[in-house]
Amino acid sequence: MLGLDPEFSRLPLDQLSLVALEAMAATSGVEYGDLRVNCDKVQSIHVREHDLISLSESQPLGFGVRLVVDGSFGFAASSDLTPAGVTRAVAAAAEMARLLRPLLREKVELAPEPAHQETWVAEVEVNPFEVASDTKVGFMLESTDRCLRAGAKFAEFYCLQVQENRFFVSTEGSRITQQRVRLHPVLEAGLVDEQGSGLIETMRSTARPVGRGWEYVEAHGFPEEAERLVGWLREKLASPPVSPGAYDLVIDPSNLWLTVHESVAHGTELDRALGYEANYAGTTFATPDQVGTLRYGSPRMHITGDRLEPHGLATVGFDDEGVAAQRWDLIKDGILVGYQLNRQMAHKFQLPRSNGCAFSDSWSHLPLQRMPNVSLQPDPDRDTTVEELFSGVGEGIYILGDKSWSIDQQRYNFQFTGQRFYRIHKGKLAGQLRDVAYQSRTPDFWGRLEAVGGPSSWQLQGAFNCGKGEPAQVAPVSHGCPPGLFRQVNVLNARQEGQ
Amino acid sequence: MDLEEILEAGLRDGGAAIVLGSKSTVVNFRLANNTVTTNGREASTSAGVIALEQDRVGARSADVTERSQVVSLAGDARGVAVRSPEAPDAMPLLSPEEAASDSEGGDGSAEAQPQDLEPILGPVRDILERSRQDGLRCFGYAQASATQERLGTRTGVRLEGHRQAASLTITLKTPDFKRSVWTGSSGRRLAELDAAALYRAAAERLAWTERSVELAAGHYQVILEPSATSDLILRLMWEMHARGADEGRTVFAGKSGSRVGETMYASQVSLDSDPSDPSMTVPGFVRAFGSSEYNSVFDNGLAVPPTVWVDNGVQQELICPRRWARDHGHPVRPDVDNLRMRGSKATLAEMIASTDRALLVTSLWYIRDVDPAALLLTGLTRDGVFLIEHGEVVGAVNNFRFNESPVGVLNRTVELGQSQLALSREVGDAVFVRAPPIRVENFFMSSVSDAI
Repeated sequence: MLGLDPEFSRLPLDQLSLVALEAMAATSGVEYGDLRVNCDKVQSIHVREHDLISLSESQPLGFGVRLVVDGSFGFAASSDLTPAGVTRAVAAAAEMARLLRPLLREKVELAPEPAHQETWVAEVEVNPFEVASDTKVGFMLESTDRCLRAGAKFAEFYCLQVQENRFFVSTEGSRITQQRVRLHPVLEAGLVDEQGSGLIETMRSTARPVGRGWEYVEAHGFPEEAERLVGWLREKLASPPVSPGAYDLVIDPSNLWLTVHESVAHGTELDRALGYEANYAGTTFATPDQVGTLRYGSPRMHITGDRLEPHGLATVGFDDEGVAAQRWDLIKDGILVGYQLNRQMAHKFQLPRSNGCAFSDSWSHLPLQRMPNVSLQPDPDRDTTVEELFSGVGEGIYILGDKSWSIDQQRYNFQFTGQRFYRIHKGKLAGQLRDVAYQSRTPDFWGRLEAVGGPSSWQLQGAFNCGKGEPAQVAPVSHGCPPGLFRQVNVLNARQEGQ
Repeated sequence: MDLEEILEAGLRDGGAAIVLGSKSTVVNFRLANNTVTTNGREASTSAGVIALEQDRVGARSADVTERSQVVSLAGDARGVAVRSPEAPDAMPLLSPEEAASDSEGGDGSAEAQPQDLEPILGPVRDILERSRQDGLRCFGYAQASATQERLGTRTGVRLEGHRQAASLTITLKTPDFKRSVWTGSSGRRLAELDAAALYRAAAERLAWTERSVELAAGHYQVILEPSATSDLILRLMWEMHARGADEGRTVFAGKSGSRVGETMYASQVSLDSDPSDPSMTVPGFVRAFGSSEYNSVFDNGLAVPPTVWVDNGVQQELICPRRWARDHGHPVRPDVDNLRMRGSKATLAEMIASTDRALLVTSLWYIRDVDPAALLLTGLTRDGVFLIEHGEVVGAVNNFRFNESPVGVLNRTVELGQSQLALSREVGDAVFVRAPPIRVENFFMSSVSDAI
């Protein structure tokens, strides 16, 4: 297990927090204040066939000061990590609050949270930033080479690695230091689509973004998977196109996570429900007046939110408002029962405490209400396998891997494609299909959920790049899922849609 | 630190080959339910340092406050470079004579300060009050940003560029959220933007929604407003790289080679870029921290000339860095940070007045690739789809999911209106775009969206 990065520990955090808290205390009207110092390491490696295309490393380093002054938020951020820089930022945050105060109609109030003084470090075995870059590049080139030797005409491997260090201190007495690591390895192979467009079609490996270190990359078996990947793609390109219509779908966790993300996780953000994102990310059909009554899906649908799941991409000890990580229900027995909250939303919703969903993607941005790990729970009563789900299907499609995704601003109409699609015929897999897209309306789709896999089939998937907010922010998030059986979902032929 | 100090630290003390220094400031605030919600002011100074060991590249960047940090970055970058394989895009660095000759790009001393918000605070307070009086809910976002970039290379290139941008967007809804419209505008400074005019435009559109018409999925004649046009042409632009075409990976791949020279779009469609356009000025030289299909670190400092991408429906150029151009016999065409689509003299009102039956589409949302070979995209209409009949808007229509390719859309474009600064709903003011409203035949709305 890794300890706290000594480079981060060497920053003058005590001095800067003292300066910030003194400046906040000396600023009239300050009802609340916090200082958050972020120091990230981000390394991006891209190889194509036999070449290293780019290897770059960046280190965003700076701080944000958030104040509540006479009921108005004020936020200022700077990379000038000096006592003078912090003093200027406190003044700038107060100035922003006062400047915008005439537009304010509703004072900011925060739900209470105990003060915490803790250090939290995520469990990782091998810090990717301690693995030599040539070792990583060599490993990636071996995988692309295996793709080429298996017949691929195109092979590339991206690997994005992040170490995130955060320090938080507030006027309420919290003092929190945190560290987490995540990486996303993406191997993709391409072949010429002789029967279709005549252009190169690609397929991505089954590796997923994880809150783990380089050990995940080494254990995934990329070189071996490279050959399987080319074989899968070859079979797909030779497979028959899907005929549009309604099909029973068995959706693998590698695809279903994204449907959970778009149709449920964003749909249960309270800031969206209250209109805070109406100008950008959108709202949600799941409005607060329907808590306890809205049928989101079938009784098989049990969705939780958490910031606790080991190796989850949204897992932390504390959020960016100093709220301790928790786990709670969002949808139980198919009914909307909860929301994701930050402290301001919790107060508006008249709840005693936030569930810890404030997150900022950078020192330069204000924390927003951002999603935790949002997961579909497996069947608690039976360890159903995916093969058992197939057995209940006469004519259907098994969908693996995510590819294209899109959903409307109220989280109703969505359309997803995938990496691989297998025909299910009389309960058995019967070869691949191509050009599949499924399109539905959120409550209709989840209402068609008949069965989910058991605990052994549950997988943690996710993404690095969930977007929201103005200015736009991206956040990493995990979604755990079992496979699910959905009856009679509308399937399109994606290629025919374009003709 | 000033930017020249960053360059000196990286190049002279750190032994780097290329240094990019950047200062950026942003001020912003958000609106929801007729009140301000959040705000922010960001100020950053960063250094991007690229080391070259023969043809091997190492790149490190960080936010910096001290000279020693830049020197340290350069040392780290050199350490990466010596362990890296040779770069496939390696070329000799440009000399000052070969690089861009000037450092155009606006006011070098500009910073976005909290005070920059002041010119629009009064008008925004007025529109929030008006929204309350009208019994409506107003949502929105205002942002002003200023970026100063300075490039230095060990071959003596020194260039500086600037970018200033501002945008204001408004979403206006009825209190039950059953009707919703959006308007937005962009420019270089918030003081240039007219909040009151934006509100008037939004209120007019919201009045159009008093009558609603439910329409089924299908093919429609549409008039895409400039925001919707800009989202589609930006998607097209992102695919316009020579490498993807040469390798048979994009819609620009032909049966033998690329589709440059082919008539891919309707004859009135023309697209170009010009970094010196006064209303959308961007730095006129390549700044590349990493290599890709669009850029090469070895091209840093290369002049970015005005470029015609599409002329009267014919694809003229594709983005191409120097090495790919040399190896594959293409002209060098650097990526440009702005995009213009030529229009006509027709106003949107005139286009509506001359319409027998069509859908007027305000903005598009959540646009994603479905089939790269055809550049088939899916996405949704948002905050304003109106039915035009016999020259008048007769009501609001439900939203749709569309499945369309920008290539097909521009091929079926039969009329263009006045080109104007347009704000892409998805990209915002991160890229300057000038686009007209366009009339498109047979636009495919593949399903109905219940979203409002």
